[in-house]
Amino acid sequence: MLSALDHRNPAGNCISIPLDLLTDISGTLRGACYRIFRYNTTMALVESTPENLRALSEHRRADMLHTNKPRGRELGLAEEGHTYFGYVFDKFLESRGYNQSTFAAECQRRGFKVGRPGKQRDIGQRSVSDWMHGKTACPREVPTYADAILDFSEEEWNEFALAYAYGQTLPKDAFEDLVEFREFHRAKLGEERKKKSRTRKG
Amino acid sequence: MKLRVYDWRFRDRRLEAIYVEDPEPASVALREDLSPEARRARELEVRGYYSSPRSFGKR
Repeated sequence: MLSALDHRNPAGNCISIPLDLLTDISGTLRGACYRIFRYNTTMALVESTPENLRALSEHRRADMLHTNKPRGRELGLAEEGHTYFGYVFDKFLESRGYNQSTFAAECQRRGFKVGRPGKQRDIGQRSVSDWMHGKTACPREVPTYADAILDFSEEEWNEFALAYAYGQTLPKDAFEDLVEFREFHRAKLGEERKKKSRTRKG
Repeated sequence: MKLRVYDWRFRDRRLEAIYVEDPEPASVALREDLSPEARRARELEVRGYYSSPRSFGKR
């Protein structure tokens, strides 16, 4: 190799790239992404200048390799509709005359925020929509906020809690299928145990 | 192996199988109109999961 350009990536690892290779790349792959297998990292040319080479994060690399769909959601679970959690949340909002926007506004009015200490933020309509569609996980504070605003009965609280705990990655139909089969399974085993105990006694 | 297999009519058209292991014995519901090949594949998958859950990163 004639000469090399040293570039330090965000992880602190030094990457040496031959200049002739860089010239090649900048000429043919403007704005494109390519991988250098030796260092197992993904590099991107920024504005076609080799000096601005940067390593993409692991997450971004995995994303590029496997899918073109938007990140931040579990693909194929909720599709475009509501998750089971979204369905239950929406049902309770409607029953109290709220919608996503008015619920978010009420949270802001009461000073209900989400996020870790130091990085707390207001709740917006977009966030509520993302939770309902399973695009992002609903923060743990929200059930308490929802209870304070919507004033759940004990039954409603249980339903909301169940949906929050188990229904954030499944559409309504799949969730109901799961619950139905579990109930069938338990009932079937219960029946069989009863029969067995009867035959033993008889 | 005490795995029970049931034919099931799912509401969600995308579901092919549901596996339940609590309480034991474990059961699996397979979509009733699965093709024989898909059914066989699902059964094998579940039997593998039932007999060696550790290899699926569980427990």
